[in-house]
Amino acid sequence: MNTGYKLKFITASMIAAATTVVGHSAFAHTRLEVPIINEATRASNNVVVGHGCGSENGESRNVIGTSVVFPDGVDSTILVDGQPHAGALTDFVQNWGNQNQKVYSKAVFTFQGEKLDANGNVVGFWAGGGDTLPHDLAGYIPFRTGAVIIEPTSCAATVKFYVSIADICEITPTSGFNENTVNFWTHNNLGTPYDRVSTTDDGPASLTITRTSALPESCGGTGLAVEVKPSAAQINRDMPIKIDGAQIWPQ
Amino acid sequence: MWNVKIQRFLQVIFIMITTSYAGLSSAHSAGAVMDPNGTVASFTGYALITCTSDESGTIPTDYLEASIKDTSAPVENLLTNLQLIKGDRAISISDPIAGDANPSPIVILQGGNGVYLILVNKTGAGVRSFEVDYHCKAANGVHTGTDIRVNQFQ
Repeated sequence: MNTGYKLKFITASMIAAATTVVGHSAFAHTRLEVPIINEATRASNNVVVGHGCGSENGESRNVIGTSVVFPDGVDSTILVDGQPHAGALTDFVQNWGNQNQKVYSKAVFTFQGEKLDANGNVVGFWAGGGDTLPHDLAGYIPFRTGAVIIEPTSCAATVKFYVSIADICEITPTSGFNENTVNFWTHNNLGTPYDRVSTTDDGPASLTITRTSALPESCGGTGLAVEVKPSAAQINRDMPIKIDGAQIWPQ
Repeated sequence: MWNVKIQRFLQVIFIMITTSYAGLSSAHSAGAVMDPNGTVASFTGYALITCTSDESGTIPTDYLEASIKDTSAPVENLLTNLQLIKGDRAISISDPIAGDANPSPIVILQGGNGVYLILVNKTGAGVRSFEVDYHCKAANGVHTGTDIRVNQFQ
C-alpha cells in the first residue's frame, strides 16, 4: 500500500468521472444482502450497491468505491422502543464490536481495507479502485458478520444496528459532495458532512440481530426493540477512506 | 517449461517474504507489546472471545483453550500471564520462561458457547512482547466458531 496504490484508486476516480452514461437504473437503496441474523450465528453477507450517482441532466455515473461504517457501540445513540437509553450497549449486547470482517474480493473493486478503532477492532471497511461499478448494475461487496450475543438477562428481543454507507462516484473534498459525486446511505440528522440530504431518516442500511434465547420472566413476555445509531464523532472519524494513514477520500 | 519454473520460484520467494510479515496473522492468535514504555506495572489487555457452534451450527463449543508466549528476552521476576473467565469459572497460566520457543502450557476453561473474558498482564513494569493463541473447541476437539473483540490494551 503505497503511492502507486493510491494513484490507481484516484485514476479510477478520474476515469469514472469521465465515463458518464445516459439513463438511470432502478434507484434501489444500498442495503445489506442479509439484514436480519439470529443471535450467536455467523453469516456471510454483502453490501449490495444498488446504483450509481445521478446528475442534473439525467446522466448516471459509475461507482468507484464504497465506504461502510458500523456503530461502534462506544458513544453510539441507543434507542429502546424508540426512546433514548442512557445506559451502555452492554445492557443489551454482550459482545458487539469487531463483528464485521471484510472478505477479500476483487469481484467489484480491486482495493479494499478495514477501518479499525484504537484497539484494532473493525468498525467498518471500504473497497474501491480498479474497475468501476457500472451505474446500472448491482455490486456485491462481501463481508462476514460474527456471532452477536444478546445479553440474556435483558429484555431485548431485537437489536438493530444502523450501517452508514457512502457510494462514491468521484473523489472530491467534502465541499464537492452532491448527487453527482456520492450517494449517502447515512443518517440525515447527525450534523456531519456525510449526512444524507433527505426529509426522512431513511438512509442507512440496517443489520438486525434477533434474539433466540428465552426472555426473562420479568420482561412480561414482551421483548424490547433496541436500535443503535453511530455518533457524529464516529462518522467523522470512520467514514473517510485512509490508506496507511493517508486520507484518499474525501480530498 | 522454464517459464513455469521461474514463476514457481518467484511464487516461493513471494511466499517467503510475505510469511516473514505474517507471524501474527493466523486466524486465532494475537500478539502485541505490553507496556511499550516499560513503566506501567498494571498494564492489562482485556478482550472478549465469543465461542459459537461450528460452521454447520450443530456442534456446540465445549471449552476455550488458550496459551501465552512471552517473546521478549528474559528479565528476572518479569513474567507474562493469561486469565480466562466465564460466568463463575476462571483459570490462569504464565509463560515460565520468556524468549524461548515454547509458550505456556495450554489452559482450558469449559464454559460452552458464549462470551469468555480473556486478560493478559505481567508481574511488573517492563516491556513485554507476547503472543496469545486461543481456540474454541467442541468436546471432541473440533474447532468451533471463535471471534475476538479487544476492549482495552493499556
